[in-house]
This record gives sequence, structure tokens and C-alpha cells, in this order.
Amino acid sequence: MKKWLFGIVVAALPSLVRAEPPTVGPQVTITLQDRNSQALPQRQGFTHTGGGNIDVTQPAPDTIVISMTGVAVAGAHPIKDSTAAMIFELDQLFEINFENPKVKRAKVTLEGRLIGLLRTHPGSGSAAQGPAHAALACGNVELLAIEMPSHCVTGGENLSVNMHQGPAAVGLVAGQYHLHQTFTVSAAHPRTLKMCKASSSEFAPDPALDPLWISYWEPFHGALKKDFGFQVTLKISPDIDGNGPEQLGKPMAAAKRR
Amino acid sequence: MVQPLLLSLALSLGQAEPGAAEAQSEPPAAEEAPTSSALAPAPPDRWLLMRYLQGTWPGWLLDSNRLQISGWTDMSFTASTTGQNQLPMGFNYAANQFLLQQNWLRFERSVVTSGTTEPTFGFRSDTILPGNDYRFTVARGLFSDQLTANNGQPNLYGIDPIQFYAEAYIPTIGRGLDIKIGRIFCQYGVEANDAPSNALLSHAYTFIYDPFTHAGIMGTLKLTDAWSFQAGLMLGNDIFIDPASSPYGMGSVKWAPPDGRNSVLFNVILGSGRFNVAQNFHNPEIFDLVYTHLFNPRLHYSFESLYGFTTNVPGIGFANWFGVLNYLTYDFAPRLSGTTRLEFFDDVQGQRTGFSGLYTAITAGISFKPRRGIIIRPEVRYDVNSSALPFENRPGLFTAATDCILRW
Repeated sequence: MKKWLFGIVVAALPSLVRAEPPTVGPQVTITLQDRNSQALPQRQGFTHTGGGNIDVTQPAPDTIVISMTGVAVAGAHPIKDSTAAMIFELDQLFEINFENPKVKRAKVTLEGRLIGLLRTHPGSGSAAQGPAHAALACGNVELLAIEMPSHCVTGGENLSVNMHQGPAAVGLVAGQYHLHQTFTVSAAHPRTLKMCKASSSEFAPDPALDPLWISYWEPFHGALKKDFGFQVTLKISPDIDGNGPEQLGKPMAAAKRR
Repeated sequence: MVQPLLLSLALSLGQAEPGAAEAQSEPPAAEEAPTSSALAPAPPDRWLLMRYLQGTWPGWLLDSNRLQISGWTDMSFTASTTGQNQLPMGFNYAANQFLLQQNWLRFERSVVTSGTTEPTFGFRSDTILPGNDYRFTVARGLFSDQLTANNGQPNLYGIDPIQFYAEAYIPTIGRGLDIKIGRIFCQYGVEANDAPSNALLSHAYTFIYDPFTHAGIMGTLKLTDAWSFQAGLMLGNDIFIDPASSPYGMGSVKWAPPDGRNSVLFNVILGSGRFNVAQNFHNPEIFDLVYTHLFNPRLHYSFESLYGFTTNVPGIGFANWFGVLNYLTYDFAPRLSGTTRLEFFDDVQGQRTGFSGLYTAITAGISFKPRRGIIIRPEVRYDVNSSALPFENRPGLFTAATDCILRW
């Protein structure tokens, strides 16, 4: 009997030890301020664009997530050249606040991912995804940046793109900063009398791309599209050790005068 | 000592992870959004041609205007106990011979029947282009000279614009009013003119020797989820604009509850009912009842009974005929089903088939779809007439046939 009682007490010990008072909110927070963002569709000829969303969310006080999603399709018209593009640009002002007076410095991390599909039909047409760029700046000084390279396919090539960069980090003090983010998707097709399928650059979840615009036998049939787009996550946390950016490693090398 | 330690270890593993509190401050994972395919209505069937055009400029022109081009090719071979032809068993009537029964071209603009309160307009054009089924379905006054073009006999193959109509759908009248103007399939019976709509390759006498199409205007009103009515004013049966045409009315009432277990369709075609001696044209009156029952998701039954008559038939006077049909279909698999058909057709005076007496026909066949656009329908069938020798001077006929439908 004693053994069993001893066992129960020992078993209960870990939970007693962990019964700490509930954690308070984050010690550093982000306050979103003015935003200037735009998605510009450009269409000429036999084209289709879809999506065009710039979504800024704050899932937690210390995190913001920015998504850009869009689609550009250009098809083969008998008498017109076709070009389509969706151009995204965002400027988001925000303020970093230290809720805990003991915190003197914060670590900001920037992380990006880019997922989508590029399709062309044999013979002609091209589809591209332009550079996807996000930069954290203070005034005119770029503190931290991520940039994903562009991709282009032509003449029957197809490409599934899934890129991730970061997290890149930098140490900052409280104050006002701004995030600049750009992204472009585009497609083009010359005029032709051939029964060519359209070229498409798809970086948006369904239903941005009407399936009737692409081939029934498209090479990425059944692909999951819910995460398509260019998504940047900016997160802030207290820099408890007081490490400067030099200790954090990556960012200062990327920092430069804009 | 070991037991308590083991117990404490087991209980400790059941505790929350130390990092659980921190993990809650992570951004919540995005909720699984319903996919667009779960919300969107089921897309219409797209066959080979439309799939090929999808993503091209002509395909976009068609799709953006709700236009579709499709069709099929139906080829059959019938092995038979007769030497030349199996008439009065129609359609696949050529004994021991390959037939291109239907080369069907469909061009249509469908109406929108859900998701809108606005009227929508469409059309459909169905053409046998060519096929030997034209011989049975062609309407007088519309390419009917093909029936005498071969030294007074029909051409083996011919064309027939078997159905063409303009359509309007008004969703705000009742549960939806559909109006069609043009040449329209007759609305009664279990079997249909278009080959893919039938479970069996061969047709019943009740289908072969009664009207196939009307030309005129027809309205279909859905009053409730279960009840719908049809009424139409026609130029006659199997006739287009021709001196022999005469005013005819058609009407039907259908009860089909949404559970789909049972349905009843009663249809009438009423007109002069008199044989037009001057124009040598047959004007029958038709009464038809169809009942369907779903025993379970795999086994379904259909019953049809038809009565028709005509007066003033030269040499006969009053002519009438009856048909009773039973179909039992079992779905062995999504791509394989089996159907049996038992038919009794009494051509009392022999005005329809040329031979009086009771025809009894039993058919068993399967429908196999090895690919989505391919249907293969082998069957065996035995026909017998109780009082005449209609099949090359024999009372009975045994056939083993198969066809292949390629949908494009």
C-alpha cells in the first residue's frame, strides 16, 4: 500500500511543479499602422487574371502574416498577342512596443515562402513568376530582407515552385518600422492559329483560376492549392540575452542603405 | 520499489508537455477551408472534344457562352437466326451485318436551372450524321426522301436532324417552367432515341412502332419537388412541316419524389386519331404509363404499359396495339450493369408491324464501361410471335448482338 501511495505522489509531482501562474501576454508586441498596398492586373489579348488578394493578418500580438495571391493566364488568340500580369506592392507601417520595461531590445525574424505552378503548352507561350521580395526598413535604412528568385518556363515546360527563405533575424529597439513587399506573376502567348493551350502562372488558391482556362490534361492535376501564394511572416520576440545583431548572425550582412 | 516507479513514469507521460503553454502563443493554424469543388455545383459532363478544346480560344468561346459540342458513334453487329433482316425487330435490323447505327452530333446551349432567378435561354441540336437509325426516326417533310432514294427503298445510311429546339427556362414560375420550340423527342416511355440513354442495344417493339419525335411547342412546369406537368401543341407525330401534318396535343403528369425510390409518369398524345388516307399518313393516339422503383441502390425496376389506336386505316378500319414492358437492372459495379427486359406487344390487327399477333421478347444484356467514354453492350434476345411468321417465315428469332458507343 505504501508503495502505491508513494507512486501516486511521485506521479503527481510533475504536474504540481508545473502549476505555475498563467503566462501573461507577449512582452513585445506589434501595432499595425498605415498601409498602402495594391494589386494591379494587366491584361491584353486573350487573357485571364484572378485573385489579387493582399491579406494582412495579425494572428498574435507579436506576429504579422502577409499573403499575396494571384493568377495570370494568357492564351493563344488567332489575331492578337496576349499578355497578362498581376503586380503586387505593399507598404505596411507598424510599431514595435516593449510591454515589459525590462526588455531593452527585441529580435525580429522575417520568413517567406512561395508556392505555385507555372504551365506552358508545347510550341509557344511563357509563364513567369517575378522576384518575390520583402524588406524591413526603418526610415530609408533596410534592416532585413528576403528575396526569392524569379522563374520562367516556355514552350511546353511546366514547373511547380515551392520556395522558403528565412528566418532571417535582426535585433531592434522599440519604434516605428515599415515592411515593403513586392511580387509579380505573369504569362504571355503570341498570336497563332494553332490550337495551343494557355500559359498560366498560378499563385493563388482555388477558385482564382477557372479550370476551363487551362488544359483538361494539365500536368499538375489534383495539386493542393490552399497554400499557394507569396506569404511573409514577421515575428518579434524579446532579445533576453541582449545579443546584438552581430551575435544573431545573418541580418547585418544583408542590411544596406536603400 | 520498481512498481511505483513504473507507475509514476506512466502517469508522467500522460501529463501535458512542458512547452504546451508556449505553443499556444504560436499563430493558430489556418482552418481547413472547404474546397471550391465541395461548394460548386457539379460540372456538366465534358467529353473528348470539349476536353481537347479546354484551355484554347475556341474552347473558351464555347464555355463562356455555355455552349457545348459533343456526340458519339454507335456501331453494332447482330448475329441472327434470320438470313437477311430481322424486321419487324427494328433499329439493329440487319442480320449478321455490321451497322453504324448512330453517328450523333450534339450542339447545345444549356439553360441554367439553379442558382438564379433570371430567365435563361438555350438551344439544342441533335443530328444523326449519318447512321442507319435515321430509317426509323426520320420525320416526314424533313429529309424523308432518303426513305425512297434507293430505287424506292431506303438508303442504308442517312442523316436525320432528329432533335432541334430553342429553349427558355423561367425559374420563378412554380418551381421552374421550361419551354421548348422545335422538333422534340416524345416524352413517354423508358427507352430513348439517343443510344447512351438506353441500357440495352436493341429496342422494344413498343418503342419501335410508336412515335419518336414531335414538332411544335412544349412546356414543362415543375409545381413541387415531386409533381411536374407537361403540355404541348404539335404538328403531329414524326412529321415536320408537311401537308400531312395536323394539330396534335401532348400532355403528361409525373410524380417523382426527391427520395428517388419511386416515380410514375403518365403521358398522352391526342389528335385526330384518324389515318390520313389522302396523304397516306398514320395519326395514332397514345396512352403510356411508366413506373420505376428502386429496390436498393443497385437494383432497379421499370414498368411500362402503352395503348395506341388509329381509326380509318385502309383495309382494317380500327387498329389498336398494346405493349407491356418490364426492365430489371442490377449494377454489379460502377462500370458494369446487367439488364433484363421482358416485353409483350400485341399488334392486334397487324397494322404496326405488318403481322398480327402477340410478340413476346425477352432480352438479357450487360452494359460495360471500360473507360468513361466507351460503352460496350452485348446482349442475347429471343422474340416469338404467337400467331404469325414475321421473321423470314419463322415465328421466332434469336439474336446475339453487341455494340460499342464511343463518346466524343
